[in-house]
Amino acid sequence: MLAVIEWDKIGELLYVAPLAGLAVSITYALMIVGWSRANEARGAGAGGSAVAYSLLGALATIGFVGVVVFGITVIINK
Amino acid sequence: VSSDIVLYIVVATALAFDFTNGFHDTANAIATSISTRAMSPRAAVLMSAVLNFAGAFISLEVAATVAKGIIEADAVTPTIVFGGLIGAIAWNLATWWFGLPSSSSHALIGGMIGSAFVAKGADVIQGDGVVEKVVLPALIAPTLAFIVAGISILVAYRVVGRQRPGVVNRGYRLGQIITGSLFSLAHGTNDAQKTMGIITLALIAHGDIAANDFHVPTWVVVCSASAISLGTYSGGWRIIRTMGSRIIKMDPAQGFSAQGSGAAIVLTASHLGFPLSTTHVISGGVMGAGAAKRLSAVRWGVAGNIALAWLLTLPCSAVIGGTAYALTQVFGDDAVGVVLVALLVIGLIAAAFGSRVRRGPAITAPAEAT
Repeated sequence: MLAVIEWDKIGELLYVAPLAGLAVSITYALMIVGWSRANEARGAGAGGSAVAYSLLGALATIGFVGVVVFGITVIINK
Repeated sequence: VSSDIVLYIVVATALAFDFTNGFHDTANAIATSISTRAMSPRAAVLMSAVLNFAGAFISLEVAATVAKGIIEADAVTPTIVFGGLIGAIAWNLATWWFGLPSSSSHALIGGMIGSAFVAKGADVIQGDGVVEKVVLPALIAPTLAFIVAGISILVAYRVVGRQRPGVVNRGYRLGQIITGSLFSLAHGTNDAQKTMGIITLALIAHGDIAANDFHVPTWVVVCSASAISLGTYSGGWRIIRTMGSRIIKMDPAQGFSAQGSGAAIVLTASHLGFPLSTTHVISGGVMGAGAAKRLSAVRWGVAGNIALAWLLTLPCSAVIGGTAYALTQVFGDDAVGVVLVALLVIGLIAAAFGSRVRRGPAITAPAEAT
């Protein structure tokens, strides 16, 4: 009975799913940090920091949006 | 005429199951969002209902796979499907009554197994399919979600730890709306199609659609989408309350970690062709997000009740499904048995649950301290 179970898929799931979950969590946390620090830096007149944190926020946003788009693609192609 | 009546009843029962599926699984997508006040209860169920409706139109691939690999396809008759649906509906209502999240898909599979077993014997049940599609996913989904959500919340606290709480909470609340929307869309795509598949199987068995020309008629798609979204909009508040505030007292970061990592796991698994129950994933995620912060933050008694419900889903829905099928046969092979069982079930539901389908949305109150 156990021979017909697709163990390779399960094995793949056990490392891909955690990576995807952590990707969501990390990109979103970095997004919050990036944009909120950029806001603070702009308020404090620290132009360089504001640009750097905005860049971090933008990159994290792109990463998070990418994950969401991947999710929608999976739903559509199901 | 007799087979026409059975077909009408099977279609109506399938839509009733779809409705219970909607209100039973609403919690998966929105309980954490409501609990952390990311959305108002009414706005959350409305959003989830609309996305469930939209999701039902996205794809029809899953519809062709209902019960595939679990029961011999040739053995399925409309009356077996009817028995299976009764088993699933009864289990959904029972778990909703006790506020316990459990898998509607596993209830449907259990009901079908019980009904088919009584009708045709054990030979038509494919044991390896049950292990692969029910037992293994039920073990993997909550465990994986527990670990991933736990690690996610620790990482999140580490990264955003020095930010102002107001900014962080606002950010995570917004994120919960996005992940909740993904959950709702995925649920509509996946679960509404099970009903479409059931109705289409009944139409094939009745001779309305050729067996070698499997397609889902438009009216079936519209009816299934409407039933699941109406069920979602009615809100299974008891389960939402359990998921949102009785397992752990959740902050927005925990809610996002549970839901975000849960959505990632569900969609990755779906992409790999190994679908997992959204109920199992989100429940495991909520427990993981709570336990990572503090083990005692999780109300393990509630978690134990939920695990017990998962354990009982397959056997209980199978017993009810088998009993329903057996009752239909007491009156012979024609429609009389199906009509009487349908009336009996409607009467029981009206008596037991009629006045309690909608409970007040008092679900944003903080959980008891643990």
